[in-house]
Amino acid sequence: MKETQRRETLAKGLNDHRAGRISRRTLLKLLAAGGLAGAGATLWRNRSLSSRAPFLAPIDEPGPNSAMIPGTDAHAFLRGISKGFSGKKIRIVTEDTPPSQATRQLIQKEFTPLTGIEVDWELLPLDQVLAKVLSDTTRHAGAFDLFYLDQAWIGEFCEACESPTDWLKKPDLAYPGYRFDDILEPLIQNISTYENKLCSIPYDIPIIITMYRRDIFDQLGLRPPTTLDEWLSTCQTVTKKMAPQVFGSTAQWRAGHYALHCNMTTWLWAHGGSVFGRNGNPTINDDRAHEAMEYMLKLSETMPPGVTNWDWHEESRSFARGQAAIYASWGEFFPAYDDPKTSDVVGLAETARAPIEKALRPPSECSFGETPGICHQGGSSLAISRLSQNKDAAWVFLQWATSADVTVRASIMGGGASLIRKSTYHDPRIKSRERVGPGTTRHLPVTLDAILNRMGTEPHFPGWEKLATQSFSVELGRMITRQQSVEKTLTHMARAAEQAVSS
Amino acid sequence: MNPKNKKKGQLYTLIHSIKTQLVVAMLLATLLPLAIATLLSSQTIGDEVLATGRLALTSAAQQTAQGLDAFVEMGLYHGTASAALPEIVHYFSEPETADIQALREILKSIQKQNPVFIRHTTLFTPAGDLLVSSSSEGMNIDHICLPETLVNTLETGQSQLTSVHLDDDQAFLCFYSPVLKNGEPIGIVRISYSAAILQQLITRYTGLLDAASFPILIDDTQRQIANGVLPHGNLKQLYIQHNDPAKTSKPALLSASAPMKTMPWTVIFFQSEEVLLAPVRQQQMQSLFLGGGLALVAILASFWLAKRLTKPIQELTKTAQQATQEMRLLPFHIQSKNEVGTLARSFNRLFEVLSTQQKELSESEENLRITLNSIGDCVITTDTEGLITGMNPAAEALVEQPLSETKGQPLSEILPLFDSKTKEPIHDITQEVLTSGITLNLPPKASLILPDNREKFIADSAAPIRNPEGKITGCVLALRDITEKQQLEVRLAQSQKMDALGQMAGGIAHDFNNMLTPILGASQLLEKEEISLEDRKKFAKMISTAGHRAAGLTQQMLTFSRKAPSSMDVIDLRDIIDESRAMLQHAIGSNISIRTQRPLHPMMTLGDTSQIQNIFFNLALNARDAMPQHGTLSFQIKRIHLNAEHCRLHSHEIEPGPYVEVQVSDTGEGIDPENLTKIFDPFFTTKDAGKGTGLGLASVYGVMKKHNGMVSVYSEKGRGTVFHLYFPETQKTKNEIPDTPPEKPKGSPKILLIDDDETVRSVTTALLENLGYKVLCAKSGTEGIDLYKIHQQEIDLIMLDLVMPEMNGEETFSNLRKIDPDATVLIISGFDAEESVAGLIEAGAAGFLQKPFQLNPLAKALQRALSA
Repeated sequence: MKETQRRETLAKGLNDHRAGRISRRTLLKLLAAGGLAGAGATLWRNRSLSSRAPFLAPIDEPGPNSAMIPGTDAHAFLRGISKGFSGKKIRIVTEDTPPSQATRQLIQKEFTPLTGIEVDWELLPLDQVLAKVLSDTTRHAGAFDLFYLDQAWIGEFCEACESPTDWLKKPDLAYPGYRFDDILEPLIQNISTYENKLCSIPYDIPIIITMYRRDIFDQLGLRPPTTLDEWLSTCQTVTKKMAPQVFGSTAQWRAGHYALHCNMTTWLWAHGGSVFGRNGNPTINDDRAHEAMEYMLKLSETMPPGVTNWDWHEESRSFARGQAAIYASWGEFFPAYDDPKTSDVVGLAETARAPIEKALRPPSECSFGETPGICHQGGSSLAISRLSQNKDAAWVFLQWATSADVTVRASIMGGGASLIRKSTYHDPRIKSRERVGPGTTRHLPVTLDAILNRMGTEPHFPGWEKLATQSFSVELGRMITRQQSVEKTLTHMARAAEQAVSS
Repeated sequence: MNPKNKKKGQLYTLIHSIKTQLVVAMLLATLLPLAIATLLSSQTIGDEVLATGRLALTSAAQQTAQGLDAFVEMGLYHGTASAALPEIVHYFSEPETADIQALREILKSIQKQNPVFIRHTTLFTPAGDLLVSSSSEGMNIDHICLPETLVNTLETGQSQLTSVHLDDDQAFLCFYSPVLKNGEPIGIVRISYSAAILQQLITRYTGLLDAASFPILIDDTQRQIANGVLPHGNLKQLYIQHNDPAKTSKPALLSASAPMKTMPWTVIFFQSEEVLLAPVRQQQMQSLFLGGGLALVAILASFWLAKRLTKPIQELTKTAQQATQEMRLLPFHIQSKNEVGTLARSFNRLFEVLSTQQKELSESEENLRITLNSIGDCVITTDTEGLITGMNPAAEALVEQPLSETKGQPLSEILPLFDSKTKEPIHDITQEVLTSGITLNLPPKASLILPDNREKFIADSAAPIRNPEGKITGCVLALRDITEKQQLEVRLAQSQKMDALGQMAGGIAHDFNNMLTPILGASQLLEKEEISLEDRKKFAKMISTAGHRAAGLTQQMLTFSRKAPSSMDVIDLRDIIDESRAMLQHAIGSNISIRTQRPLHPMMTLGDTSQIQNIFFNLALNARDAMPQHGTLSFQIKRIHLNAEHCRLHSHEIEPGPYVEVQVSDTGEGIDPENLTKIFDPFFTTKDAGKGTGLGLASVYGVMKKHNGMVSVYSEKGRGTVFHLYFPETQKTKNEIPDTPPEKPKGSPKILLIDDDETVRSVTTALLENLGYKVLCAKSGTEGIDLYKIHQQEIDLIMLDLVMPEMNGEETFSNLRKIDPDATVLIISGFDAEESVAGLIEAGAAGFLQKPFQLNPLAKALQRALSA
C-alpha cells in the first residue's frame, strides 16, 4: 500500500467512524492495516477533560508582561506584526480540551485584535484531530497551518512539520520574552522530539501523579507511602478497615483498554522493568515484570470489584465519589476533586510525590526511546504544517499560544491544566490558586516534580500502539480478570512484542 | 451530723432545688416530645426506606438482568452474524476450495469483537466434529462441546448459549450459531467466552445503589456463576465455593431478584439493610445530637434560668444568713424585676419598717438602759425563782456588789430587808408578787442592813414581769435608798419649822409677855404680906393659869419643831386644827382671819401630828402669800367616802374607802391654771427669789402620800384656792390616860435631882417634896455623880436633865450606869430631844418627862419609873 493511499484510507476510515458509518472494530482493522496502530490507540486516549463539562474560570488574569497590557514588549510586538500580517488567517485543529478552549477565547480577546490575524481554531475529539491531520498530510492539502500532535504521533508526523529550530532563529518574528529554554526539557525531549529532531512545541502534559485522601490517612494514622511496599500495605490497611465503603485504591483497569496498559507501565517501570531492553529485545517477561504483575494482582485485591471495567474517567469518578484512599493517575483530574460540582471529597484530596521505584532501568538499557519512570506521561504538542501558506503568522501565533503569559492564563481559565514552562509553575497567579477550590493548582508542584524527575515515556516505533492496545491491553485484561496467569500473560506479551518489533 | 446524713441532706437539697427541678422540667419538656417524635418518625421512615430500598433493589436487579440479557442478545446476534459470513458459508459449502488460513483469520477477527473475553471461535460439522478453530493453542476444545446444545441449535436453526461449564481451571460459556445454506444447517460456529465475562459484566453493577450493594448471578441449578462483591479470582473456585447463594446472603442483607429473559438465570441484588437504613440511623443520630444539643441547651437554659431565678433567692438567703450572723437587718440588693425582686423589695420595705422600729426599740432600750443606769432608783429583776437576773448601777451601788457577782443569786440573800423599827426580817415580797401577779409596795419602814451593819432605808415597790402572752416571767423591784432623803426631809421640815418659828417669834413673845404679865404681877402681889389668903390663892391661880398657857404654847412649839420622825398615832384631826390655830395665826399675821369648824364627831386618822401640823403650816404660809392685804383662811373638816371613780380620777393615788377630808381654803388671788399641775413639783415656786424654796407644797404632797392619803387643789383666779386633804379614816381610838390625882409614894423615896437650872431645881424640889419624896439636888452632872457615889444606897431614883453645860445628861447617865448599872434614871428635858431620849431609854433609862411638868405628870412619871 502506498503511503498516500494508506493515509487516505486511514483518514476516510476515521471520518466514517466519526460519522457512524463504520464500527470501531472496522476502523481498528483499517488502522491496523494502515500501519497506524499507534494512532488507533489514542482513540481511547482522550483522557483529557473533553468527556466532561470543562471548568473555565470566568476571569482572565493577564500578567505584567502580557500582550493585553499596552506598553509591554509583547503588546508592541503583536501590534507591530499587524503591519505585515493583518488580514491573514491561520487554521489550527486541536483536541477539545479546557486549555484549548481558554486559549481560543484569548485569541478573540487579544491576539486577533492586536495582530489582525484571524485564527480559525477547530476544537475536536482526539480521533477527529487525528483524522484531520492524517487527511491533511496525506492529501497535502495544507488546510491547517498548525497541528495538534499526541506524543505517540510524533514519529508519524514529524516529517510533515516545520521544525521550530529554524523558526526560533528568526529575530524579526521572535516573540518578546518567549524564552524557549524556559520550556521544560523533558517535555521537549519526550513529546516534541523524534530521532533527535525538534518537531513541535510542547503544548500540554498529562502525567500520572499520586493522589490520596488526607482525611482517611489522618483517620487511620497513615502517611503517604514512599515505597511500593508501603503503597501496597497502605492500600491493604484501608481496604481491611473501610471496605466496601472505601477501598485502598482504584485504577484505570478496564480490561483490554489502553488505560490498563498505561497503569501497567507505571508498576512495570517502578519495579525496574521495561517493555524493551537493549537492541529492541522484549524484557516484558523478565523477573522484574513478573514482580510488577504480581504486585498489580495484589493491588487488585484492594480495589473495588468493578475496577476491571473502568478507564481513567471511571477511575477518577470513583475517587471523586470517595471510593478509594490513594491512587496513581493523570494529574489533570486533580482540580476536579476540589470542585463541589464533580466531587464528594472537596478539600480532602492531596497530592504526593510518587513512591520511590524499587529499581529503575536506565533509558540506555531500553529501546525505542522508552524512558522508565513511575510517572507515565501522555503529553501533546503543536507543530507548523510544512504545507502551511502562513508559516510566519502561524509561528507568531504558536509563540503567543505557548508563551508564559498565555499558558498561565489558559491553565487558570482551563481549571488548573498542567504547564509546560518552568517559570509558569512559580507564577504568582498560579501560586495564588494553590488552595482548595475549583481550578486549584495545588497539584502543580508535584506535577512539576514528576515531569522533571520521575517521568516515564513509552517506546516510540510504528508498531507500538498496536502492541500496546491490541495485545498488551488484552493480555493484561485477561490477567486481571483471572483468565490467565501472570506467566502466560507475560509470555504472550513478550511474544507479541517480539512480533511487533520484527514486523 | 455525721457525713452520711450530711450527704443525704445535700442530696435531698439538690433534688429539691429549683435548679434541679428546672433542669428536669426542661429536659422533659424538650426531650420527651423529641424522643417520641423521633421514635415514631424513625419507625415510619425506616419502614418507608426499607420499602423504597426493596423497590430500588428490584430495579437494580432488573437493570443488571437487562444488561446481561443485552450481552447475551449481542452474543447471539454476533454468533448469527458470524455464521452468515460468506467465507464461513463458503467453507461449509465447498470445503475443498476454502482457504483455511484466511478462514482462521476471519475467526480471529470475530474474536476481536471482545478480545479479552472471547477465547475461541470454532467451526463444527453438524455432527459435532471440530473443523477449524481460531486458537492455535493445543487445548482440548472438544471437551467444551455440549452435544445437547449442538442438537438444539441444529433443530431450531437459532443461535444458542450454553450454561457455564468448567474445563480444567477455566470456565466458559459458548454461543452456538448454525451455518445455514438454503435454510438448512450445514455447520456450527461456536464463540467461546471466558465465563469471567459474567463477573466482568456483573461487577459493573456493583455499587449501583450504594458502595456496599452488589449483585450475584445464579443459574437454573441455583449455582452462583457471578458475584459482584468479589474481585476476579479463580472462577472454578468461585463456582464451587459459592454454589449456595444463601451463604452469601447474610441476614442483614436485603435482596431482590430478577430473572433474565435470555437465559434461565437469575440476578439477585443485595444491599446491606444497615447501609440502607444508614440515613435513618443518621437521622436518628442527628435527632440524638439534636436532642443532645437541645438537652444541653435546655440544661444550659435551665441552669441559666435557675441561676437567674435562684441567684436573687441565694442572695436573699445569703443576706438573711449574714443578717442572722450579724444580728441586724440588712437590705436585699436584688435588681430583679420578677417576683423575687418584688419579694425582696417588699422585704426591704418591711425591713425599713422593722429597722425603724428596731432603731426606735434600740433607742428605747438604750434610753431605758441609760435611764436605768442613770436613775438613782435601784432596779432589780429576778426570774420566777427569785434569782437575780439584772441590776442597774444604782442597785449595784445599793447592795454594794456588781451584777456579775449577784446574778443568779437569790434576791433575799443579796437584799435582806428588815423592818427598820423592829429589825425583824421582812418577808420576800418577790415571791408574793410572782405568786399573786400584783404590784406590791414595800412596807414603809423597810431597811437594808449592809454587811458592815450600816442601815439603809428602802422604799418603793415590786411588780411582776409579764411576757407578751401575759405569763409572769419574773419580777422587777424598783427600790429607792431613802436614807438620805429621809434625813433631808427631816432637815427640810425642821428648817421650815425654824423659819416658821422665826416668823412666829414676835407673836409668841407677845403671848409670853401676856402670860408673864399676870405671873410677874401676881408673884409680886404674893410677896406682899398684907394679901389675904383668898387673894393669895387667886394670884396663885392666875400664875398657874398663865403658866399652863405658856406650857401649852411651848408644847406646841416643841411639837412643831420636833426633828425626829414621829410615830403614826391615832389622832383626831379636829384637835390638830384647834391646837395649830394659835400658832398659825401667829405665822400668817393678824390681818388674815382663821376660820375653823369643829364637827361634833371625831375625825380620826393614823398620822403624825407634827407632820400634819407642818402641812397646815405650809398651806397657811401659801395662803398668807396669796392674801398679802387681808383675807380669810378657812379649815373645814368632814368625813367622806371615796369611791372607785373618784380614785380613778386621781390616777389611783389612793384606794377607795372612808377618808377624813380637810379643806384648807383661802380668799386669795388664786393660782394660774398653767401652774396648777406644777405646784406640787419640788422646787417649783412663783415667789420672788429668796422668798420661797419651792419645797413647801412638795412636802405637803409627800406627807400626804406617807399617810396613804392624797392632796388635790382647786383654784379660781381672783377668787381663791382650796386644798383638799384626804386622810384615811381609822376606826381606832386615841389612848388617853385619865387625869387622876397622883398617889403618894410608899415610904419616902429619895430622889437625886441633877439640873443646872436653879429655878427648875427649886420648883421641882418643892413639887417632889410636895409629893412626898426626899430630894438631893446637884447643879451639874459632876456634882450629881459625886452625890450619887455618896448616897448611892439611899437614892431610889435620879432625875437627870439632858441639856447641861460641861457634862451633859448623856455623859452623866453613862457614868451613873458605870457606878450602878441598875440605877433608875428619869430623863427630863425642855427639848424634845427624842433621838437622845430614845437612845438613853434603850440604854436603860427608866423614862422621860418633858419640861415643864406639873404635879400630876411628874407623879405619874415617877411612879412608872420606880415601878419599872
